Amino acid sequence: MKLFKWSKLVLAASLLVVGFANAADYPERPITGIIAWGAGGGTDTVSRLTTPIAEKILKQSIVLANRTGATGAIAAQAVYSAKADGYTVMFHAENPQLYQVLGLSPLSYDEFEPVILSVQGSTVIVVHKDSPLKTYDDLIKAAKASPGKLSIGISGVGGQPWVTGTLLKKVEGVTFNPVAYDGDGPLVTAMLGKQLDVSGLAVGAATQYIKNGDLRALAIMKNSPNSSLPEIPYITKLNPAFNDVMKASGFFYGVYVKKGTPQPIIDKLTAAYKYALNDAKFVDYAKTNGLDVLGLTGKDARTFINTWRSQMSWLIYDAGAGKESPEKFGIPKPASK
Amino acid sequence: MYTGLEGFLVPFMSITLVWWIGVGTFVGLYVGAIPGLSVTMAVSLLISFTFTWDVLPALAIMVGIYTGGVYGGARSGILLNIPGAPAAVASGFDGYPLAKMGLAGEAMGLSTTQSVIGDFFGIIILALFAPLIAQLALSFMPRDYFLLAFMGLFLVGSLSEGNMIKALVTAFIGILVGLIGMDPETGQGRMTFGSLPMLGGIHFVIVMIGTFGISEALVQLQTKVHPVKQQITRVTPRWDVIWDNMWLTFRASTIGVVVGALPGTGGDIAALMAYDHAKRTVKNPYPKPFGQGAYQGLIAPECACNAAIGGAFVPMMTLGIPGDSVTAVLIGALIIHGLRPGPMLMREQPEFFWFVVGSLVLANIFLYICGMTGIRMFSKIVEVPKPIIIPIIIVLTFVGGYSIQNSIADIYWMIGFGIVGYFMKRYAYPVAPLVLGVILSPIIDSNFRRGVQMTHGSVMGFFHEMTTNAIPLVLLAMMFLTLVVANAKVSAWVKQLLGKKP
Repeated sequence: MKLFKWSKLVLAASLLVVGFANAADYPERPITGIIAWGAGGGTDTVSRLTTPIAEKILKQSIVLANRTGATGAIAAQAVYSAKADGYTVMFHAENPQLYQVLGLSPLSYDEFEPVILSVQGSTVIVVHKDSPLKTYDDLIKAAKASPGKLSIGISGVGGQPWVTGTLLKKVEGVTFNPVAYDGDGPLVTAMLGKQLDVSGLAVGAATQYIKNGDLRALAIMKNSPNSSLPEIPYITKLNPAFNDVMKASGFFYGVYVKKGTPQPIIDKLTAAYKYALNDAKFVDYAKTNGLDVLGLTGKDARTFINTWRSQMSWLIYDAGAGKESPEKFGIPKPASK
Repeated sequence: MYTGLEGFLVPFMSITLVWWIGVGTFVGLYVGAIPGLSVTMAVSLLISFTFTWDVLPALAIMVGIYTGGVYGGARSGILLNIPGAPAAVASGFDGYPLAKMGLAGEAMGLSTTQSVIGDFFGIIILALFAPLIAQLALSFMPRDYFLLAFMGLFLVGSLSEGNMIKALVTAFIGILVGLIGMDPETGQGRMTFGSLPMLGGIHFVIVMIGTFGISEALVQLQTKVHPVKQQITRVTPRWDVIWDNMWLTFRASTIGVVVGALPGTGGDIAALMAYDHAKRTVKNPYPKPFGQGAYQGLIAPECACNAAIGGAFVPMMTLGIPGDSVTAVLIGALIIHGLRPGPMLMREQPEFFWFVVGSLVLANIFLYICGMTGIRMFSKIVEVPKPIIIPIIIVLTFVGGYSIQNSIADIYWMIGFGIVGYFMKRYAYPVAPLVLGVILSPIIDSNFRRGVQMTHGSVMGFFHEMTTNAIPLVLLAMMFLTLVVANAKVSAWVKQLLGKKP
């Protein structure tokens, strides 16, 4: 019996040693990077730009794969199902913070640890260049004239284009007919092919088409002008009623690991990606694509994503689009009103 | 469009670029030949590998890998009846029977020449008609993708191997497997039985490797067939075989380019559709009927999946939209190098477009060289004793299967489908319709629902729109022709109905 106890102790000790060794040697083998959105979209590009720089710091390759669908919940599930050992890293946007309210998944960023919040971006409302809708007012008038008739491209319930539609419903009282695609890339295709009347797109994904004249930008969902599209009006300028909801606007891309990942491993990843964000190539990319570099880590990152969640969850719930009350998950109401 | 034409010559002028394209093509051929190791993965890996390089050599090696990889998939399909890549599923249907007849060398030679011809066809279309094809790709609405994938289901008939009921059974299983996972719109789990790993669905390549690879290994372990002595005196295919089938080559390549250019479909569907087309239109295949060793059954898919490369570059270069999974990764690679393919790049740096065309041409020349020189060595694989070759295959499929999503659950699925595939083969159920179902059902599912959303939830409206637009009408007409004209029984019946009695 005594021997048994001893062996248990030895086992525990050795496990502990192995655990430490793992963290110290991390990363010993290639890391899997799961990108929650489709190739060619915003999340994808930022991930693929920063990762090779981070790889150099980590001295290990990060194999990136896109796992799309269900507003990124499939990717979140996949990373959640993997071990919390830092070998499965998630590249995701803001969406998981809305899963609970929308009844998409029981997961949220509470189940993940932010490695870094890379950038914050905005959505731009676009129409095809041949569209009769010339301005934001035209869009609202047309939508009021035929409620629920204009098709709006969304990337699944809870994605930014969908949030844009909900905001328009809340503030302007207009409704659209949502059509779901697999992210920014397919949405651009659908917009260029005139399949949709209007869509929200990430500024980064839409810029080249707007500058080339293929798509027309009506408004940017932000409370200040965007650096890459300075001539496009921002929404609070068009209608000050948006001031309240634009306090926590837009979307953000970040790098996450499953909760329970040893802190030394997270620190290593954070250091690598922090370095990547300062890379000249990346800074250049962010500038030309209208993204603000955030670089939030640790507690700052947690505060940011939680504030964002309270604002958006309650907004969606109050708009009648949520399946569950944010209260059920202990999401506090936004502090300032 | 024709500005910056000088970019075409750039890859030919630099010895470094020629070298990297050659290396890429050579490596791609082997990556493609190993089941599960995909071109997409190879190119993704190269992004980090070439991160510090200049953009031109980085792109050169990726173009080489792409060209070599698409072609390489047919190798293992012909020699072992295990397709190395989804695009090569159809190449084994007749390629393997040819190898069993001792014609492996000639089959590989034919696959090489036809791949090169198909490739060139795709490149020419890319160079001359890119904006036109891109517009066609953009006009494809969800309902058209629905129809196209639905038309793909007709393939079940071609793959039935004589027993329609059995083929339908496996196709239905495939469709069901394709639906497993989260609903594309609502995120509800479907057929997941509350299990987390199943929520992500089952990757179609896993199903393919299982049903083709593992099951074939099991079947071959059981049956004691002595390896066929291969006639490797003849490697270059006979000129008359190529010449006789020029018209088929042209049609198959056209299918390849168009299907490849559509952002929602790629070389795998193109190759299957081309095989179906060949089987329905070629009256006298030789040396044996389809499925038993017909040159035509190898020519069509090989042309199509390689022509799809040029097709996939069309939307990528002109619109900045990927034509398939490889071009999606290529776009990512170029953005990392500060170039965003699309209309702006076409206007500001048109020579870049021509650089891509030039690299593709060069890669294609290397493809012919690498393809033709390796045949004698590859032919020996068929003659290797089973106890040696089969464990190697199994190990390779496991490595390949795991590497797709780095998921151990995928390995279990692969073994599971391997056992299912084994019993299907034992009881003469064709396995190809199962893979077909898995590939097509997500396309049908998501596009049907997208289309219905676009008609404001009206299913009638969805089908009504098909009759009032050009593309769905053309697709419907093609379906009608396939069903009626190409079917001897039905067309005889129609003739009788019209009073043309003998």
